[in-house]
Amino acid sequence: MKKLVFVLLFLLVALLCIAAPVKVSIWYSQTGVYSQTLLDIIEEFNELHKGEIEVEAVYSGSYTDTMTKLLAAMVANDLPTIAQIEQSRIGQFVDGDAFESLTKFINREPEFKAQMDDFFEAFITAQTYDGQLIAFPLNPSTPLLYINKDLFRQAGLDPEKRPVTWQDVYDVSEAISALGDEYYGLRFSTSDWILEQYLWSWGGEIISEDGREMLIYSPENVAALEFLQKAIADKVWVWVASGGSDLDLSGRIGLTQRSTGSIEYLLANAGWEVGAFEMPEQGGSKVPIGGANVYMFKDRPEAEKEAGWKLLKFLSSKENTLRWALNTGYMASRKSAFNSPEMQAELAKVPIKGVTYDQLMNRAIRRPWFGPYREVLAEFTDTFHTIITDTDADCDALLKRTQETCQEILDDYYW
Amino acid sequence: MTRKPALTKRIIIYLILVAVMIMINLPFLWMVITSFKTEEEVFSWPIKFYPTLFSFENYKGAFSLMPLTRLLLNTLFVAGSVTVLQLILNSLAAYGLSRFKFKGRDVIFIILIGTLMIPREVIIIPLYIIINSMGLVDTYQSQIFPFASSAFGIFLLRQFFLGIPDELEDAALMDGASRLQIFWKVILPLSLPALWTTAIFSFLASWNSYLWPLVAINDSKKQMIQVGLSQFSSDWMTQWTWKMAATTVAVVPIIIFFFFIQKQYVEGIRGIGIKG
Amino acid sequence: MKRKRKDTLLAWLTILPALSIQVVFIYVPLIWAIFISFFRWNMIRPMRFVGLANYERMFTRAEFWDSLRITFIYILGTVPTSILIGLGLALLMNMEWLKFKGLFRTAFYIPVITAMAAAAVIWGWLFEPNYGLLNWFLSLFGIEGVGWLSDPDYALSALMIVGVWKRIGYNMVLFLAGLQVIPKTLYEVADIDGASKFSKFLNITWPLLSPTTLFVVILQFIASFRVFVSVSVMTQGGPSKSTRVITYYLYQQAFENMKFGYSSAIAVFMFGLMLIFTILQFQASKRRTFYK
Repeated sequence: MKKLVFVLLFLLVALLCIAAPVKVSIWYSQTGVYSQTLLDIIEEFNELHKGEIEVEAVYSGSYTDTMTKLLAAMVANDLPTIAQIEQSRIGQFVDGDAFESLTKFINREPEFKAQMDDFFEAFITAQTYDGQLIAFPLNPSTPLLYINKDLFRQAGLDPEKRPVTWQDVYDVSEAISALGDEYYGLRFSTSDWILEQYLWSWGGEIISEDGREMLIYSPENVAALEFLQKAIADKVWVWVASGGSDLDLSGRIGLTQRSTGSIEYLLANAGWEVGAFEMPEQGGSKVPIGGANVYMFKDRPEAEKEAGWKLLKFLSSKENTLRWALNTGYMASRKSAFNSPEMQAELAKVPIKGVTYDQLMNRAIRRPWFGPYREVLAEFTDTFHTIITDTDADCDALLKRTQETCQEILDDYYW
Repeated sequence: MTRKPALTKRIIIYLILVAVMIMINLPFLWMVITSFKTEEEVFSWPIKFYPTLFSFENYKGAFSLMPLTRLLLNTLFVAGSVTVLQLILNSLAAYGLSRFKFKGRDVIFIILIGTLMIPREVIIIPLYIIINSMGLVDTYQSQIFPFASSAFGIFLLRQFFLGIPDELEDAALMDGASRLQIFWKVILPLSLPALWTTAIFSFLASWNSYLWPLVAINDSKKQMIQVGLSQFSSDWMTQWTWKMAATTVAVVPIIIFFFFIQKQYVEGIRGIGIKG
Repeated sequence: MKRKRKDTLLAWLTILPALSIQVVFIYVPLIWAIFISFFRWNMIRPMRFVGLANYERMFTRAEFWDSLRITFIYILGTVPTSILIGLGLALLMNMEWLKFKGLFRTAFYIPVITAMAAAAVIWGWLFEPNYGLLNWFLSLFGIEGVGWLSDPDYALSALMIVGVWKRIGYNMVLFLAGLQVIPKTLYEVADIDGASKFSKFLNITWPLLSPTTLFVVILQFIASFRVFVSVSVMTQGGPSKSTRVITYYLYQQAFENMKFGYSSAIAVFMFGLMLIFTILQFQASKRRTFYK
């Protein structure tokens, strides 16, 4: 009798499972051709799991707008299973223990666990918090120093020689800006992670390992700011508030700091020959890993998370990370994908695509991610803007004040 | 009968208007021009004022990337519904507030108008909670109901109704017409210009809204046009030519629409005595 | 008497639908915001009651007052300008002999129709210091361009230009409507008296236009107070916080810094300020002639 009930129950559950596939939702910020690749991969996943899992992919706006949508959903208890979130915005979610640990799932599956070595180590360490892996990389990248080879030649410079230090960058910039009034050497970007790299490359620090103490006021960082201020004042480097990245295309800019992900766009749309080098280093060498990762939320039904885990595995499989990298110019997250004949052929064809991998393996670390970090970022970005637009501003005093303001923000957060 | 001014004077006035017209529409023209350029031409130096090849490639590209037709129809449906609902609800409320005297009227008016000042971005989270509790997330209703009435519309219509002489209404009352009949047959026909004004305003607000549809709608088939337009750019790069093509597609229908109704909208006002 | 009671009932019935929409979708969220403003909450972890701390923080922060100051400068810069230009255009467009009125009106209205998100992007290009059209245009006259959006001294002005540009057409149409109802006979009488153009404007047009003007002023004031999209697309409040208007400040606190209690306090303050403004305006307009 008991057995019969059990069997019936089992059948019922099985039937329910067949009748209603588990619904999984994934929110993404990718647009254009990038989203197309992602959607294709997801569609394939749906085909493979027909009747069992149904994935709904939802565009959630830019990284900033995604936060609005996510927080509204969070408050209304209506979160997606998985979301793509940019690295510097995860702090308060991590502190609030909102993400599911993926280590839990990995430990359950020895076969997959064995594959973990295949991922580039830096990506995995970057997403490990308190010993738990909480995300897989979706569109990882590192910043690169892109150059306009045509302008280099025009200025009598060797476009194959990497400007190693910022002083080198200044020197080549000087030569290029000498070409005429409308030419500039470096277009200095004030994107948050580019600024992190800039300070790190001078040997400076921003925030302590535990995220409780500001370290931004240091002789290294003051020197970095003063150097930048001088380069701008000399009209050797240039900064623009909006549309800056598009100025790059105009062919009047010698060098520019941009994401790995820009490679395809530049190759396709720039009217000049594109070169790329590792980021400069002047006493420091750390480079941030940028881009966004896919996180799973803890506060979802188990069955949904199980299905979500399958999707995460699928997204980060060798085949798909390779496909992603080939189609978008972003990095592949697995070594096997990197070493694959397809990828190697691509690298042989377009050698500058390999630069980011060298940089990743030697110098890349995770960005600061702490709860109050967005606010801190906004503060020191402002400081950069101030010294750029006011070339008489006192870098030392400004940085000191930034340190104090930011420390207040930290103290307030950890009250 | 006012005299026609001298020819030179007329020419000067035409010139001024044409100059202002061009200046004011520079961004728009630039958008249309860009939509025909190649991505490389957009930022070439020196500035290229016109595309070398006039091709519709960018339009094709834009339509292939985004289901623009679907998005436009969605938005048309939502903006149309919002406009119709607002016309009904706002004019009714404005009528009640302008033609009747009763206790608490002024307080109600201030309550209704007070919301004029609240930017939607501010209340987006609680609004989402309410829509979610009604089970309306991911529906067209989520885009329609919260905007079915607007402080602005009520304010403008009330102002207009106040200008319609009481005598008209009194005369109709004498003739035995009911209040609602008067509203329908006397007040509304006289208020057509004001109704057009509010209709255009609510339609545009709905047509151009971005953040709320992004937050409240998940299904890409139900999405609104502005969210679609935003998907031509990301945090670090933009397919400008496609984006401008898609934006042109989203703006031009409304311009044509406005061209045809603007006569109604402005000139219909003639002959009605707003009290000064 | 019976009629009166019936009328009152009818009046309430006419108001009820609009009122319930406003209450459910704006006042309930607002009350919720008032409640949240007494808590510390990042929307992820549980809320903590902090009493009036958020309000205290708001009133003691220089950045809050800065954002308010920037907002008012923006209002002062945009409202009168957009009204004057709108009125000027309306006066020209009101000439009886003018042809192609429909074309002009539509053309002037295009900025109103275009979504700010799209328009702001294009303005971003026009303002671009190195290849932007605006500086190129200035250079034709030998004027050296400025970094419109990259210079803290100019960024707010650049936003004002966009704000004014967006609204001229709108104001023009409202003024045009206002102008057309001024009885022609008044001008004819003045003509017989031999009044000058200017005195006609001063003694007939301007006073009779005052209800429209007041209406436009109020609308533009509110629109300026609520400015958001152009800031978020073009400057993100920068450089160096020079364009951080109050709405953007609030948005940043809520969705970048996740200080939802604090941002709610700012929202409540904004609502309070506007309520006072509305009541004052209402009292003032009651005394006006056009209000019965």
